[in-house]
Amino acid sequence: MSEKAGRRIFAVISFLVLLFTMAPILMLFLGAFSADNFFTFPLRNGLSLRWFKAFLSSREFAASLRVSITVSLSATVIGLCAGVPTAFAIKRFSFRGRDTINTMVMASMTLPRVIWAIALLQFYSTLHILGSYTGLILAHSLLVIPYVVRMVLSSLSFINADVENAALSLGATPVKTFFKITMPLIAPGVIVSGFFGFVVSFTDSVVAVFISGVRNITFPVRIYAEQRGQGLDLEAVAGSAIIILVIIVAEMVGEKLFKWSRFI
Amino acid sequence: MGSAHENYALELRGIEKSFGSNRVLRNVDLTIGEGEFIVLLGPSGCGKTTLLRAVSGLLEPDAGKVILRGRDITRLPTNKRDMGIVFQSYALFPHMTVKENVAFGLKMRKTPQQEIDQKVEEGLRRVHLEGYGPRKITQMSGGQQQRVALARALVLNPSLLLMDEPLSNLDAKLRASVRVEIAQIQRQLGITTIMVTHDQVEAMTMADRIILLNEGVVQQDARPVDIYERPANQFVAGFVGSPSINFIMVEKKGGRVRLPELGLELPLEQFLPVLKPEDGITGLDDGQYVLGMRPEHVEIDGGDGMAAGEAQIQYVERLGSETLIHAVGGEKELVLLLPGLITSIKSRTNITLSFRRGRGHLFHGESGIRVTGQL
Repeated sequence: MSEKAGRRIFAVISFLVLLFTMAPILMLFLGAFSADNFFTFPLRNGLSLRWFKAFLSSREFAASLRVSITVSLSATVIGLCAGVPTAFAIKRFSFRGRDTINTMVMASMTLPRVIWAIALLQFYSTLHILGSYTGLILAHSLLVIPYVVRMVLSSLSFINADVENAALSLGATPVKTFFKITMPLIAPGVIVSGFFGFVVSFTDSVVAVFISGVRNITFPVRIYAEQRGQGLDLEAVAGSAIIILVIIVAEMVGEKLFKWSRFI
Repeated sequence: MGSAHENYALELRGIEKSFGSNRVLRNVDLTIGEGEFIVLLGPSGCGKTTLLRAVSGLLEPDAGKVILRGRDITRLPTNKRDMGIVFQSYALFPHMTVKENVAFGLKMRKTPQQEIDQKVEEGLRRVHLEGYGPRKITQMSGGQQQRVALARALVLNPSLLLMDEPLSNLDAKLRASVRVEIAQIQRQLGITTIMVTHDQVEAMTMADRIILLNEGVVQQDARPVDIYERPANQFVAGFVGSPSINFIMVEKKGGRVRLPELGLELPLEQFLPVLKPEDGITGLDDGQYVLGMRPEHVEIDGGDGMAAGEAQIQYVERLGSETLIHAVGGEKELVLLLPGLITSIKSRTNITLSFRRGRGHLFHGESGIRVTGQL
């Protein structure tokens, strides 16, 4: 096989990957702009913004978005507050149980989400926080923490521990050293991990279904419920299109600002 | 040992450190006077950096005491130790400017801004970086970064300056000039300094005193001249000096001495004059010894030296100001160092070797310890 043909095969494969990734998203956008009452392909009555209008004026979706954003933001903040010090401790100190912590902290990332959810359901019901904001936020911080720990660990491995030692030798306390030296140097990694943590929490439906109960329904759970109730609901499709757009734009901006693919 | 001596800048007593089963420092004792420039020298893995870290507090020794100006600081954290450290990697703060780097320690001490500005300027001038304050660290060359690190460590006027291989990341030419510069600044400020290096040239040229370490044990603690002229054991003799010293096996039995590798046998009275007179060796017990002859003390047809037999020249290296000759006598390869650029000597020619009088070092065959008349 000639080198040129070989290169062409790789190009074709990567193009197919792109196609299979983008096609459903494009289809979803098409449905969101549909003027029909339900989705058909091709569209029968052309394009319109009616489903976007419907989505934006829907009280249920607005409420569930509020729940999702509150829960995801809180979970991200808790995840950062817990994950950054954990990563720092794993990287910089040696203590008994360090390797165990390092492995177990990744557990919620590798275990099947549904099994996690069952375990949380059981545990939180004994704590009587099932169905509450507290329970949902706590459960989601557990989804956020491993992402934070992993990305902050990788940022920490870019800085030489002697930079921190130099600050100590110049009279900075360990706490001052952390905030004046370590934090500014790992800030891009922390921001990126916060973003991805937020997205992981925001997109979760499995844990939320088990934990949230009927009062605090998150956005993905609401969409899931709508689809099951009435077939393909174009109002939810329009909402999904907005969310996709927000996330993709944020990712592109993040890549531009922080080159954040290096942390993942 | 009684109470701490106030007149020492630093005292180390019985420092021990192990990593797992690896004993990195074994009962290290050391005293340093005010203003002294000490070099910790040794091969990689000898424990010199570990010792420096124990002094700086970045690492806690398993046993022993660190005493700074009479005060036991063994358990004191680094940030309370009043020591300036220059790291091998320089460890500058990449998110700060040159000026912010140098000012960092002063800021931590809540120094008034006016005083900070003045001291930073003075510090940068000292290392010939005036005007570089606003630059970013990434805009500075390796040599400049090294000097920023030095200025940052010195600006607090610490009681001790610690440097870990400060020159190893510089290219050879720069290293020679920075070597002189650091030594000058140190003498000018009179700051007590400990520098770690594996480079014997740095140790010989910069140190007031060299502590030579191997496998966590102090091999010798002496002035550079004494390290070279009277190495305490075979390890020191072999480590210091380039090209390396020649070691020749010696067997003494009755009144006669044999050098089997060279195929020589001679009466003891003819062998003893080759040894350093200051060692005061007038007789030897029967047994195995090792004779150390530096390359500059092995000569061709040397007048009143000890005749060391015939040898054939294998290879000649002309270094410009001196000439290195590799020759084989008997079954032993010896290295000779002759002054000047010698073009008349060719490979494959036969020569007569001699060992210069009063220049030989003698070590015990088994222990490797230097033989002196007192033993």
